[in-house]
Amino acid sequence: MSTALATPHPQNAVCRVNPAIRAGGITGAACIALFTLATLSLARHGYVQVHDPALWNHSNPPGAGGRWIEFVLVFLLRLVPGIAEGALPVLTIGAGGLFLGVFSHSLVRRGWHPALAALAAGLIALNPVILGMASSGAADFLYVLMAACLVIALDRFEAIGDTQSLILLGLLIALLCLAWPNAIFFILPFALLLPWAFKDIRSYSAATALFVIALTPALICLCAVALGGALFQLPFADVFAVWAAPLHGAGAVIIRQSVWLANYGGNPFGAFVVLGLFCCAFSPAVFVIILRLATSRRERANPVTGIAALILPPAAGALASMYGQLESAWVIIALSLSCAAAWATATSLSTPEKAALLGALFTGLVAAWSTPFLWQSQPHFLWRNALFGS
Amino acid sequence: MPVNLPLLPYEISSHTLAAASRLCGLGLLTPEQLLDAVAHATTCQVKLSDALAALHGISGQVWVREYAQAAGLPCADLVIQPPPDDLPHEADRALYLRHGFIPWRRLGDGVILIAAHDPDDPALVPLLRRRFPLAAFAFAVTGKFDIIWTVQRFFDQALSEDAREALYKRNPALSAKTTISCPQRICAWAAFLLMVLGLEFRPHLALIILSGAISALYVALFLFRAFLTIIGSGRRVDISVSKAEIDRLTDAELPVFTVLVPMYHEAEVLPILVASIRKLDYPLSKLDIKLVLESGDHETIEAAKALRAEENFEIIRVPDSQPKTKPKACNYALRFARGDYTVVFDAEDIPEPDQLKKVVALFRTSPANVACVQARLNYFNRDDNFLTRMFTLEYSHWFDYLLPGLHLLNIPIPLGGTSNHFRTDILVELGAWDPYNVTEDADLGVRLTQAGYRVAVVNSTTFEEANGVLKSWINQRSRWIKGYMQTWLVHMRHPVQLYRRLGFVGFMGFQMFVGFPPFTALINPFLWLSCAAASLIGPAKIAALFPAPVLAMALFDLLIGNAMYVYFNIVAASKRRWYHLVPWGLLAPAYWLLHSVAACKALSQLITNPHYWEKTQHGTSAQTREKAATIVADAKAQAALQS
Repeated sequence: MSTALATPHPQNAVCRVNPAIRAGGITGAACIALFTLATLSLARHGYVQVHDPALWNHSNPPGAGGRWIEFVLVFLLRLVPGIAEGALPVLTIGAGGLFLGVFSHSLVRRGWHPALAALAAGLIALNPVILGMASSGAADFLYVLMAACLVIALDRFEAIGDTQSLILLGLLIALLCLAWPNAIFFILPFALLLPWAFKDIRSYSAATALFVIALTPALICLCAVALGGALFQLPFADVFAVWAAPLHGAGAVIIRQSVWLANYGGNPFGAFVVLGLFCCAFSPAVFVIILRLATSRRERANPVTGIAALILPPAAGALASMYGQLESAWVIIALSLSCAAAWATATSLSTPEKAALLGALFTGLVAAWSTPFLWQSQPHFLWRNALFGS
Repeated sequence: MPVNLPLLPYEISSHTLAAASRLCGLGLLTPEQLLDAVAHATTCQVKLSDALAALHGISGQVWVREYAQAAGLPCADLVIQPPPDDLPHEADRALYLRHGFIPWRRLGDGVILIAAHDPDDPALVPLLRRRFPLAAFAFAVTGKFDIIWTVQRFFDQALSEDAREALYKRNPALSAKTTISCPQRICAWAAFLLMVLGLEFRPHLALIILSGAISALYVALFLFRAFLTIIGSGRRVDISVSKAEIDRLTDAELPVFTVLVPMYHEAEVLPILVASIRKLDYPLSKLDIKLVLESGDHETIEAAKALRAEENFEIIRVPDSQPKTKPKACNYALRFARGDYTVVFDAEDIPEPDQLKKVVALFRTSPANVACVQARLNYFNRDDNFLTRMFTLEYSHWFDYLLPGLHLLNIPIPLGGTSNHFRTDILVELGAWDPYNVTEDADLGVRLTQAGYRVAVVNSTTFEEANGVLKSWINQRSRWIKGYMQTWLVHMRHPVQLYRRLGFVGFMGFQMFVGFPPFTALINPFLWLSCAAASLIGPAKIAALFPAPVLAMALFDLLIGNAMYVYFNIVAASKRRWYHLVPWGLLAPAYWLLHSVAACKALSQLITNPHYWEKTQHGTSAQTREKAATIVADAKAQAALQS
């Protein structure tokens, strides 16, 4: 039998894939696998995430209370025949895998070695706040990722400052407002940072234009919802009442279970301090931001993105706590992690800084799992036990 | 890919130098000025006579006289002694204009006396040989204007007929001389009948289909424009020609550029135009400027003469004929163009000084199928009143966002009304402008694309006067809308052929930017009224009549679509950092009402008087009048100093 090939074949044919895309693809797939394993483990040990029944059943549209995109996503999910409420984690697993895949891809494009980029993504994925939210179908996880996208958009605006980046910022703010009931608590301090990021601001009209362009899409969406409701006799006052209620009209069980609400509801300063400490302890990547702001002239020339990643999560948490709208610190810690990750994709770090970031992520991971601070509420405690089968 | 044009060797003949020296002797020129002109002619590769005219105002008549003396040749006064009727040949008229000669007299022994602007031009004899293979030639000297005048006198009928009917004769299907074709008439009546029958026998179903179709159309239009706005708002779309590319251009390699400026009863803004052209960063000797005036417009003709502008500013008198439109005038003047590129400016235009060089650089680096470069348009009197502000926002959105977005995505671009720069040969090949179309620019853009050519957008702006007078604004806008209707009807005569030539994306772009805007302007008032009626009757009752998808689309259009269009108006001015205009964007709905008024007028005129050109009133802005007055005062002061 001849060993010659039947058809001519280029001996040196190599499938060339961009290394960044390859790294992102592999990392994203690995994270999806990790989150799926966690979900299966939870299911095997009988853990049931308590979701808002109105979310799955679409039983009370005014009860959306600001979660319209979430309702739309669930609506689309329900179109799949045979799907049950337990399939909600599909959304968060997919979103988490995509986010971390893109994170890894962006780091490689910034000069990271693919293995280190994958390691950074893995350290974030293994952090209990991320793992927990991704594997349990928590809607807050989607908001956290969207907020991270907003930080990336802010970086683009700060660096380029063109109209396109401002429009994208405006559209993301609008999307966040439609998706996340607590969006306003994130956007208020965000809006305070905007003028600082706008290099063209030389007059009051420029400042006015900045806010008008950035905030008008959100206003349009909210007014459209209000007007649409009013047209069909769904008063906006009812929707607002649900939104303004503790935890946006969540069930009594959920409100009772919230240790955070009990301790820090109505106490913004205390909440800010504690959340700040939590972010430092469990998302110590913030120290890398501080280090870079202190040592890099380039970072200080465009500081707003770093400051946003640093300050916005605890500030948003504090404002939400003031109005009784924050269920637990997990969301804020996840927000801090995702904003820091967004910042890292927008910055060219030196080798020591990369090492510092990896060290910080690892430290935060160990601290999160080993210290008792994140496990004080029963659902989180049960979640951990179910995950490890204890 | 950059094209390196060979530099044509240009030697100044001894006769030319002798003539120039005579001018020095007569005190019309100093030796320094002569040296300056020689240097300019050598650097720019132009004739010394052109350099002297552009730089030192030496008139054609004076030059002809002195050149004739220096060369020992007779002078030919073609106005007093025109050639006999049988000597100039119509087929050669383009050659006469391009090379500046015309057969003048038959002398004895088979010798033909040629009146030429530059008898030393080596290209003349070979060209003459083609027409008169057995003749011998002698030369007389004549002026450039004499040749133009003679060509007009001899071939005016043919030129005028050509300007009006060339496109129609070449391809009647592409001319708006016929407004609506027979098949289109049948289709329109059939659609109308179908709608009436539907509303009569199945009103509910007909209403659902009609509402669904209109809502879907609006959604598609909104999404497309939103996408283009976001794409076009990026900074990278703005940089098409850099300063470095302009600096690399040498005066020698710059081609002759024809500038057509059609005017009608616009004497008051003429000084602004002349001043703007003088400020262009382009060798004046390489500008072939045609002031295109109607022969009956004596006021503007006299005003043009009174300016005593350089010889490069040629007055082309367009014979009186119908339709009396700008494209017909441009077609007529195009027959006299000498430039490799041709641009059309309006009378009150103020182009940025480096615009022509940017265009040349862009043409050089663009593929050969780029036949036109569109500059951006905006207004210098944007703060006059509500109309001028809204006009500015509208134009800013169109030229700063949508057109760059179209260009980036390779979608056919509808041309703007002015500052379109063409490759002259391609423009002539396509039949130039349709004189029967009142938006000849939009039509030409589509024809260019159908023929496989592309339009590029350059990062240079021409500032115009925004129409701030309501009645005049409505007249102008109704003409534009009528023209878009004409363009859509013309090119949709063979929709399958159009689709094949433009492709899916191009075809949809044509519908979105040419077909749908007049349609939406017409039906918007009905939609607003129906919305108001629905609010009074009870939205829930109306909503029950329609299926969820139709309702969702309609609500999206009403609530999100309208508001986002207002948003696009708001962001429109931010690229140019005109932030004080941002709040005015909120008044867009009032502006849309005016569009609808203009659309109704357009539709009625399309039926009753499709080729009527609503002349736009210029010079209404205080800024324009001040500019013109300042320029005139400066010119008078300068003239007084010189005298």
